[in-house]
Parts: sequence; C-alpha cells; structure tokens
Amino acid sequence: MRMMRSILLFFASSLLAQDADLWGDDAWNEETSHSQWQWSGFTSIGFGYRLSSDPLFNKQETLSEWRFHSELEYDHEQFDFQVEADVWYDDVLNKTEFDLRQLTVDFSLGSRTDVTLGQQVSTWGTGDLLFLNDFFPKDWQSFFAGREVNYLKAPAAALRMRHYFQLVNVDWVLTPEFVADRYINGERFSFYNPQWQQSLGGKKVIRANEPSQPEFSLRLFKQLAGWEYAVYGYRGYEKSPVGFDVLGSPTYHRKQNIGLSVRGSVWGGLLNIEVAHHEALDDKQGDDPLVANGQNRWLLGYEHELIKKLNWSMQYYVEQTHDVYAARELAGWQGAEHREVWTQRLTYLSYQDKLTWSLFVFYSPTDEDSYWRPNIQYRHNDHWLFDVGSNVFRGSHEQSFFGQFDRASNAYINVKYQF
Amino acid sequence: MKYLILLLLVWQVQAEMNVETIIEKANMASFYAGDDGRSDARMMIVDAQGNKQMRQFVIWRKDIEDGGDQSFLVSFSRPADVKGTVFLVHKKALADDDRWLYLPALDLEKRIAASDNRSSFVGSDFFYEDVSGRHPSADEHQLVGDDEAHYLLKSTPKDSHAVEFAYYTMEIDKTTFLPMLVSYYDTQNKKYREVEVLTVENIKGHPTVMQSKVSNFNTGGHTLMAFRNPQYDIGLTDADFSSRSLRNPPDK
Repeated sequence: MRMMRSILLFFASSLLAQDADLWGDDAWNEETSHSQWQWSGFTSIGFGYRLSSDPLFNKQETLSEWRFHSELEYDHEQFDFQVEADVWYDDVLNKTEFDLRQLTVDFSLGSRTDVTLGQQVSTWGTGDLLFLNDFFPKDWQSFFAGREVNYLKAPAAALRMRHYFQLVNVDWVLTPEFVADRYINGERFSFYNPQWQQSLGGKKVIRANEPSQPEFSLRLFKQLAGWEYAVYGYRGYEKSPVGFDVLGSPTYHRKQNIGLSVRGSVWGGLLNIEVAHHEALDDKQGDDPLVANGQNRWLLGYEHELIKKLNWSMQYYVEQTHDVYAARELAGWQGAEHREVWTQRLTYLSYQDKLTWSLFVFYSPTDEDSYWRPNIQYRHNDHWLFDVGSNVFRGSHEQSFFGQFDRASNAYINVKYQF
Repeated sequence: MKYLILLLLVWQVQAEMNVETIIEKANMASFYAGDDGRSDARMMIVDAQGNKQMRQFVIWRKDIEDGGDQSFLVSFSRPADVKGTVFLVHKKALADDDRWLYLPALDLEKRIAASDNRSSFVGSDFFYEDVSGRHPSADEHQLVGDDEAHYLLKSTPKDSHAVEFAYYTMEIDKTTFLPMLVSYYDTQNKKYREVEVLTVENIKGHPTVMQSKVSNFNTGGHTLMAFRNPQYDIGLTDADFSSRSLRNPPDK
C-alpha cells in the first residue's frame, strides 16, 4: 500500500514537473533565448472592401495584400542593432512594396544620454489618435485601410537623443531630410479637393514635391509626484501638402509649433490635458490664400475602467484657426474658425483576454461628421492572430474633415501568423 | 472570572499581534526580499482545452521603503507580438499605483489606469496584484488555525466592491513565511481560484519562489510561472525605474 502510494506520488510529481519545467521545453530552447541575435517576424494577409462604391475607382477593394514582416536584433554590451522590414504584394495598387520600418543603432553616451540613430518610428504627446505636438510621420493610408494600428506610425531617418537630467529630461529628434505623412492622396481613397471643389482620386492623385530641408522636434519632460509634464517644440513643415504654390499645385509650407501637456491619475482614472500653438511661418498675417493658417489646438482627455475588463476613454479636442478675419476677407477662405471633436473609446476584453472588442468614434459637432472604428481582435495562440473591423465615415458635407471620406468607408479582415 | 477575562484579553491581543506579524512577514518574504532584485521569467498559459501560450520576460524590482513603496519593471522578449514591450509600476502603499506600458512598434509610452489591479497580467491567469503584491491593509486578516508547517489565515476585503472575491485563505509556511497556497472564494463559499507555490529555493539567504501556478476553476485554465537566475541586491537605482527604462531597460 505504501509502495503504491509512493509510485503514484512519483508519477504525479513527474507529471507536474514536466508541466512546470518551462525552461526545458523545446518550443523555446535555451540556446536561442541567450543568443545575442534575435530573429522574429510574421506573415499576414489582409482583405478589405468598400461599403459603398466610389465611382472614381475601378477596384472597390481597399485592402488586398500578402505581407511578410521580419525583425532582426543584435544585443551588444555597448550598443543594440535592430532592423525591421516589410515586403508585401499590394493587389489594390498592383505592385510589390518594400518598407524599411527600422534600421537603428542604439547606444548611450555617458551615463545620462541615450542615442538612437537611423530609420525609426517616434511618438510623443498624450492624445489617443489625436496629435497636437507629435509631428512624426503618420501613415493615414494604412490606418484608413484597416492595417494593424502599429502601421499608423511611419518611419523616418533621424537622429534621436534623450538626455536625462535631475532638473528636466530633454528629448530631441533631428530629421535631416523632411519626411511627410503618408496622407490620403487619392491613390487608395479619394478626398475633397477645395481648389477644384470636388472629390479627387483614382486616376488623379496628388504628388507634391517634399522639401529636402531638415525638421526638428524637441520635448522637455519631467515627472513630479506621479504627474507627467512636458513642453514641446517643432520647426519644419506641414506634414501633408495642404498649401498651394503660385501655380496652384499642392505644396508643403513651413510650420512651427510650441505646446505643453500634463498627464496624471485622478478619481481612479487618467486625466490628460494638452495644448499646441501652430504657426504658419510662410504667412504670419494669415491673409495668403495659398497657405493654411496657424491654429491653436486644445485637448482634454479622461480614461476610466467602467466595469471589470471594460475600459472607456473620452477626449474633447478643439482646433481654433488663427487670423480668420484676414483669411475670410482677403483670401476668400470659407472654413469655420472652430473645429470641435469628441472621441470615445470602449475596449472590452473577453475569453481569457484572447478576444478584444473595441470601438473608437470621432464625432465633430461643428463639422457634423464622424468616423467610427469598430474592431474585434482574436489571439488564438502565440502564432495565429485574427482581426476584423470597419472604418465608417459619415458626414453631411462633402468637404468636411471626415465627411470627405464617405466613400472610403470599408470593412476588413486580417489573418496573421507570427514566429 | 476577572482573571479569565484578562487572560482572554491577553490571548486575544497576542493572537492579533500574531496575525499582524505573520502578514507583515509574509508580505516581506513574498515581495521585499533584499533591497532589489531581478529574475528571468517564463509563463505558460493553458486554457481549458489545453491550448498553450508562452510569455518570456525579465522582471526587476527595487524597494523604496521596506514593506512600503517599491518599483517594478517588466521587459518582454517573447512571443513576437509582445517583444520589446516594457511595463513599469511605481507601487504606492498609501495611494494608487502609477503604471506605464511601452509599445515599441508605435514608440508609444502609454499610461495605464490604476483601477484594474485585479485584471489579467498579459493574458495570463495571474493578476497584476499577484505580481506586484496586494496591500496588506486592503484586507482584514484573521488567524484561523495552523498545522505543523503552516499558519492558516482568512482575509476579508475592507472594500468588497473593489475585488471579485468574498474572502481568501492563505497557508503560510512557518519557517519561510511564504504563502504556499492562496485560495479565493466567492460569496457562495465556492473556491474559484488558487495560487500555489510549487518550488522554493534559497538564493543568498532569501527563500525564493521558483515555480508557481494559478488555477482558475471558473474557466478551467491555469498559468505556470517559472523563474530562472534570480539575483538580489544588484545595486538598482531609481533611475532604472524611470521612463528612461521604458525605451532602454537596465542591462543588469
């Protein structure tokens, strides 16, 4: 009887040990986990279709691609090297594309400075999908098409330095050659062209010459008793060609910004406030009809967990355009002085957090338009990930910010295998 | 009669002293060994159907005050979709914790609301609170018995709305003061969750949990956590737990 018990115990413990010996398993063998080289990546397919057709396009697909993403990292005691690239066949544009997402060397200079040199993605600011002080390139085409949200940020070849001092931390990014947003240019989605007073896209697309001058971004930041304070600066260009040259072609005008933000926890949630002062350096009086005027931008945000696993966030955002009188009287501009946007985000986790339901809505009472982003993500295991969602634009006026993309509304699905 | 009351009173006081001491020692043993520490860690998340997911990370900790404020940093290396993700917690004994999550693909420093202490730690059956510790003052503790090796405690939340359990029980090792088995019960007295220590090793005089397991009896899933190469008193500083470490975790 005693022997029986010990045999049973032995089997039970060895079974348990097998189950619990996470370091000895084959799936992640120890060799690779301690090697200085790390390789990972994924392959994915994405498919999206317009909810209502856009007559400017022959194809109504908004996303149809097979993508291969690869990352290679080398950790050295003195530096980190990282390269990340995407290759995909884009069936909407009928071409194979390549994107170098990252090619960087990271190292420290002394004990207080970190340097990132090379092709990289940068982000700062407190807004959720609203950018007041972040002038790093964004990929609105990917965002509208329903690619993974990681692709909202586009890379740029830059030098980034972060200095950590007692008094304040200093973070700056020098992009030697300006990099624009991957803005909606008519190639994949049509947009409203105010000059022609009609939608443009399909056969006619915008190709503006990008300035080859540098742009410079600066952030001073500090944390005090759980509150994060930041001051921002930028000198460069509009991130998309919203202005026109004397021949009437879309062009990038010079831009400067200063701003600040505060973020901290209040009433069991998170509060953020951010302001920015955008200045149009090529038209300080605001009376040149070819140059988009400067703006003040204001943001108030709050995030809270409503019930367990259900998160809610709200943002109130205002754009106040400068020198509206001059623009209207002298330049015949017809826009509104104020643009207000409310956003709501709801995120719900279910099925052991493998299934994420989310809805993000932009709504503008001044423009009378909205942008709805429902999405469901399913993480089957460490390899297979699925997501389905939609981008729905609604508006009463074809020239309004979201209303102009009415015919870009789409539904999409992505299937990803990662390794 | 007078003496009896006095005796009872003394016994009562002694028992309460004991509970407080046990809880304090358990808290110290579980979350405050040494002044700082780091360890490699892996989790295996297994659902009711036997599907497995893995997470691999390094965890660093530094105590600001023994038994009080402390900081945690967790840097993920696997799988691919969480690689480079860094999680920073400034745990506060008397206020809400401050938490940040760094998402490398977007270069995004995300602040996380502190209210969800009892939500899943990166998709596992562990809660954030299991990793960084639950404040002992959040519950009323009661010594309900002991056996040769363990103290048996029952703890009831002071704010029952803030948590999903009605109460939990702990079997605390009498020599190491590590809670070896923590069982969570709902209002129907049904045990729906347990956290069990599987192996303990002595690392530089600190009894250290090397393997633990959380079972969720409602979902039928469980998560195993295994540590490797734990180290104490490696000289971490506050700077190692600043926003700098979100983009550049310590080499230690």
